[in-house]
Amino acid sequence: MSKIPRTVCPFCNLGCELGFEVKGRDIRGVDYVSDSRNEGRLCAKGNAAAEIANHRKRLYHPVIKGKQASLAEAIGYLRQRLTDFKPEEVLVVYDASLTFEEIGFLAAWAREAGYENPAYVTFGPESAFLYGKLPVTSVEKITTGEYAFIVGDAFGQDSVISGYIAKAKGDNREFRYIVLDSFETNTSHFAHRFVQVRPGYEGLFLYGLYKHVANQKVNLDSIAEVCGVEASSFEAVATMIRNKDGILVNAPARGRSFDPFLTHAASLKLSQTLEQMRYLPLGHRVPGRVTRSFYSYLPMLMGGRIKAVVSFGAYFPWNHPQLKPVLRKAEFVAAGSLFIPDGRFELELVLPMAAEIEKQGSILTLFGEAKLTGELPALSGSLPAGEYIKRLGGPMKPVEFRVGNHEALDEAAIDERAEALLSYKAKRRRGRDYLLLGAQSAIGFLSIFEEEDWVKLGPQDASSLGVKDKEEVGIETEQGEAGLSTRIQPGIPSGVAVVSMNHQPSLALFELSTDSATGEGLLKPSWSRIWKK
Amino acid sequence: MEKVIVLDLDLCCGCESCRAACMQSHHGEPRIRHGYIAGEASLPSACRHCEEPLCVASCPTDALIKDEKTGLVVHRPFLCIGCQSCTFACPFGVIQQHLLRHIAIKCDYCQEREEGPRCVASCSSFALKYISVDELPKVPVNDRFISRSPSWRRQ
Repeated sequence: MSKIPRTVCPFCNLGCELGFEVKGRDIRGVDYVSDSRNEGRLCAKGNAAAEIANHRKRLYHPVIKGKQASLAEAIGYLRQRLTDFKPEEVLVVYDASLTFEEIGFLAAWAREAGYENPAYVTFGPESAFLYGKLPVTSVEKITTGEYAFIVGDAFGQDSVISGYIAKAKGDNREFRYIVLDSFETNTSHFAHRFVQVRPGYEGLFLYGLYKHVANQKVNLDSIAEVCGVEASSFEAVATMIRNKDGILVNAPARGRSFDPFLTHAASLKLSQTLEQMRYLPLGHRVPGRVTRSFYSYLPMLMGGRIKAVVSFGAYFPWNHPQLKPVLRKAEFVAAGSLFIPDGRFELELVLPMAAEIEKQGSILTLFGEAKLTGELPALSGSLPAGEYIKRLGGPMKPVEFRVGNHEALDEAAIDERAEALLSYKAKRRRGRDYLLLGAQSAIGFLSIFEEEDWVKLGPQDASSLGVKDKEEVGIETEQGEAGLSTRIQPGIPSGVAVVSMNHQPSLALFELSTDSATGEGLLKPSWSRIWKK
Repeated sequence: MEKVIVLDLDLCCGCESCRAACMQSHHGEPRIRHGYIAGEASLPSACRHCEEPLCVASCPTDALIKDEKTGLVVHRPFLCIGCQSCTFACPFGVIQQHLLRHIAIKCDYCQEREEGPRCVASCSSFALKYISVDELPKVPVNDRFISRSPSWRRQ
């Protein structure tokens, strides 16, 4: 049998290995590598990995002002256009699609040209994991522990984790599995104990639990009241995790929590207090050692101090629809893209990017550091970010750069955040009766099953709105309006609507804010009006 | 029949990886369907390759045959006229119609793949197994996910 090209799945930081079925130049689909650490298992997203390589909307040539151009023209144009600005007026951006090596080269190039530090761009919960000195834990450790404490819908997001839980449950009768979330999910169905908190307050519950376990003074009753749980549930969870060897998995979703940084910081503190607890944050990790978040530059962009934005990531600004008015203020915006731009952002220059599965380099995963093999050749026309930087004349020596704002989440800052969350009220206007939460779901990715996003409603709300399964509803928030297909799911509390956030229209429904302490961009749950269309 | 796909209900977490894997390898038409039980559990179902298949009996053009060697119910698309007899005959409701091509589509156990069906390879919680019929009694039942979860409310 011929060798199948292998690489690491690009869609989350779990780092599952996968192969490709290739016939000639045609990529038929993914193959399952049984001798890998994930034993060939993939989630619905992983199964769609090959779809990116030959997607019908894939971009194969640069686009200058809406017109097709050659690579040489585009690079010449970019170089020429950058000379129009002073170095301090240029912001270089990258995202999680870059490898360590590429970020090193990007930093070296930016430093030599005198640009602002390259800023990374992701939304809060994902990049939250940069903070604090993370004890790196492998996801395989779930199987050896006595308990797993999962925050959020880990199975919906990275279903490969369910295999480890199944193994642990099968091997050890005493194994306990606790889930903290605001509504019932696939993950919570199987839990020994499911702690259901009021939507958006997961961080506060974890903060209360941390204070309780660490025997520190805190008003548990008021925390329990705001979280919507019994005050005794802190002790109940504490007995399940105290003096035991286990793991805390944080699976955040965008638009799910009012303060994902508190969730993260409290989880980290909890794992430091309980010596035998290990902490495992899921979601996209920004690779390598990074500088500042793009969102901390927003005031400079709005004030006109930054006039040019150049992105070497594949997802910016396409996955950040809220940035449209901000980017309009810049004189020149160039960005990489995997897909043909859909006209939402009228960028001056769009560069065709190689997908991560076509790249070579190293990335950080929850199995440890992994190598992208680059065995799947980049399709003609698209280049990896590193290649663009080389062609722009960047230095050949990569630069190490410093980690950002670590101290932002110390003990006092956590107390302050918890205090703020205790009295937090999301902006609400009359008529907006539904709290819109985000769900990071593997199903519905690319064209797997659904090209469009859905909204999940509880049966009670659905009947009061008069909608049936798969009927369309209109949703309106302060930020915008969208029409989404309904899914009725028991277990979603009344007054809550859950939106899958894979496509731009539903992403744009959520309020975007910049976290003052960490400078990260955040999508918060928003109040919305829902009606039958 | 040499080997069969077995679904361990106690392990299935409803992630639909199997359906995604099937969809990717069958040109966007998954042969696996998901049923929702009481709106809570989502369980995959596909062709069981019955010993006495009703779909084969109902097929007017012999597009569906029972392969004696492998024990599989094989669908031959060039003979299929899209009459939907098999769809109605199947007691499990797992034969579907392809709306554009006007023929039946059903699970083929990924015959062209040496290592076995793709849904089994991609199953994230080890719920799907590809095992021989002799091994079947050894699969532990009522010992895993659902049955060991006190909070699981089976209705």
